[in-house]
Amino acid sequence: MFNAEVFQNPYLPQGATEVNAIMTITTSGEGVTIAAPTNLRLFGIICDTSGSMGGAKILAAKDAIVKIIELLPPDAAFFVVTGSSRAKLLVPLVNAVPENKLRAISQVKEISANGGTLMSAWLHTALSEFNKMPQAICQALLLTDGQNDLNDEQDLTRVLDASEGKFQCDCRGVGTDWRVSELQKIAARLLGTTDIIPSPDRIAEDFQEILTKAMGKTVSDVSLRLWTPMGAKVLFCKQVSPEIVDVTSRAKVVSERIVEYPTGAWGSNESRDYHFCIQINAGNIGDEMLAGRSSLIAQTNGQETKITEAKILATWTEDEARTAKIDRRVAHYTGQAELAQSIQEGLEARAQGNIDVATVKLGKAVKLAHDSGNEATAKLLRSVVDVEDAAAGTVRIKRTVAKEDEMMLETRSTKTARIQK
Amino acid sequence: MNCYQCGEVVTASDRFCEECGSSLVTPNPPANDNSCQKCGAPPSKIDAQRYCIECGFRQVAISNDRVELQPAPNLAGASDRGRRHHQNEDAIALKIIEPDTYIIVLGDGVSSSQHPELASQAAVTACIEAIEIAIQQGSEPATAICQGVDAALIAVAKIPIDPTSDIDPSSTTIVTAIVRDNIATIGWLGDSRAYWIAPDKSLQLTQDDSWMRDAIESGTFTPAEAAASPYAHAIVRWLGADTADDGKPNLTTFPIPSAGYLLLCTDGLWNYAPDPNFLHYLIQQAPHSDSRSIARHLTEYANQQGGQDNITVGILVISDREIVA
Repeated sequence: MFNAEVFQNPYLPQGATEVNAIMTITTSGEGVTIAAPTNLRLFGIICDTSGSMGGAKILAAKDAIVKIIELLPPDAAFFVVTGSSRAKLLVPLVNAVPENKLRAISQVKEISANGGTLMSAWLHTALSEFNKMPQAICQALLLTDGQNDLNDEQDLTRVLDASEGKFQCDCRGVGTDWRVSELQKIAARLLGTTDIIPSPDRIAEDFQEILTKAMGKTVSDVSLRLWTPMGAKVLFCKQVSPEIVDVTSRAKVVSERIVEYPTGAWGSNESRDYHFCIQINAGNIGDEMLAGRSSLIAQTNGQETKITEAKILATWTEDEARTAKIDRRVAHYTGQAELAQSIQEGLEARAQGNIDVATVKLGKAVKLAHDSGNEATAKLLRSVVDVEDAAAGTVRIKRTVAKEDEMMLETRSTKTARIQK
Repeated sequence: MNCYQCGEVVTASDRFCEECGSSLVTPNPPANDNSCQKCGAPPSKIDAQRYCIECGFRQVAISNDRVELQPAPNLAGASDRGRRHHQNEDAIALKIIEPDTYIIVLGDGVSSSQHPELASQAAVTACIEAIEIAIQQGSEPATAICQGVDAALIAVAKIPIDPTSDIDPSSTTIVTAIVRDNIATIGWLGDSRAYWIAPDKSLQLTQDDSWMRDAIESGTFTPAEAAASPYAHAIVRWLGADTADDGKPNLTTFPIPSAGYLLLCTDGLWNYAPDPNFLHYLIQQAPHSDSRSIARHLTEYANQQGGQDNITVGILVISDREIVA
């Protein structure tokens, strides 16, 4: 069952035109399947085999791929793409039955590393395989250790345009020679996560986590449809939990007053929060307005099913006690977004050698993480700064910081904490 | 504030948007046109929770729980939800056409029909407007009443209803009086009544289109038996898309003989005070003799008796000097 709930303070003072609301979408228990359940799951493994992967990394990657092939449920399908300056379809799309798995594993064991890095070619080969099973829940995992070829930018954009909505892709960088922004760009377009695997011996564990999550998906292609009234403007729409993903620019126009944002596939027992900020026409004192109607729409074989719906309201009043209150969830996620931004800005300033700005920004981040109980982020921050007073945000930038700690903070800064009870 | 059409910033005093040229004067929809109160979008754009799916604004429920009108010192009306019903399904309209023509219209929406509150309101509004036009064009009062009731029927039939529902289409009773040159011309459909109230000469001027009256007049039932029947309050003629006949009003004229009161009311009052002489007594009990006090006193009386139904009264006070020999 999908359930949507909106948290907001609908009361606005005279003249106010901005409405903020958090929508929590939860799936629970069995039966998270829509009309015609697509139990077809297709999992694509995309592995960097460029020269830099040689040695411990490629050995660990091969082991990890073998392990997840072994773990694939027999009713799923899979394929393996290896990539350097060219892409190789090492294991074409097959069902995950034992004999296919065995054959695939022996091929994976033959993988060797050499050549450059041309990610567009890898994704292009993966897309061709996914296109063979359009009804399946299509998910991929991309592992790399280095930076993409500088000449690949245009081709990469093109293949991402073609892949958007066709499959989802989680991106992992092993070691510290890859660029966070590069993988984040791919993951964001393909509705996946980005993370660092600091050392090769952790690849297997991470891959299994990704596979478990992927196999838990039961509904593909869910979109968030937002109706807003005449004259309204969506200032932003962000997923804010489990991590911040700004989808504002992903809006697809459905009709004059309706836009649609992609949310990808959903499994059972998932929970995500979205933050809507809508600018509306001001009403008079006493007026009530439907500032937005947000619904989840599932696409199954070209048929739309409305799964759940929630309303975003606005009421203008002179009662200051009512208008002054900010909804605690809105406040919490506004704080989490500020936290992520402070970390990004702080790390950027630090990289540019601007220690004063970095100290202020990262100090603010420490305070925000402390105040909101985001212990995971607070811990990551402590690897970059020495904290004197977390509540006050007093910090000192560490003289030496391990590259992997910095990259971990950068990739994970968008992970948010849930509101504390 | 912003333009409703294009979102451009406009000021409160602007009449048109500089950007797209849209009129910024809030459309003022006529009562009961059910269009959006803010942007004028048609009724089909209003959702079940009363939000307009164009501009988002919620429609304000205009409460008619208690309505009082007094367009002139000698002409007043009151309409009250009563004590038991959750909404007021009665409606009233009053008008004076200078120098000396008085119009009273009231309606009682049929509770077992769809949107009875809209039916009565639409009927009295359309009726009084049509009568005014007819009178100004020189029509005789009886003709004006027929035209008014015709217009009311058209307005009621236009109320959007759910055709798949088992519930009858919107319906209402109507009673209207035009008073000019000491003659009251009265038209009605259903069981809303007109009375002439004067010391010792009070009388009921209308005859209900009701099962009870038919039953008593045909001699099948005694008045007591008829009043006890579950059909006692059933009306046999009404104003609605499913009207049982041609919808032509019953008509009567009454030469006003003396000073007194012309009283129109719905059954919310006369159920507690059917006898014209008792109504005279009640009017005497009003704390003041002006029309508004009397209208208020009569609705209060019905509420004190239990207020089982919506209560609506219209009253014209006729003093000695208005009686021209």
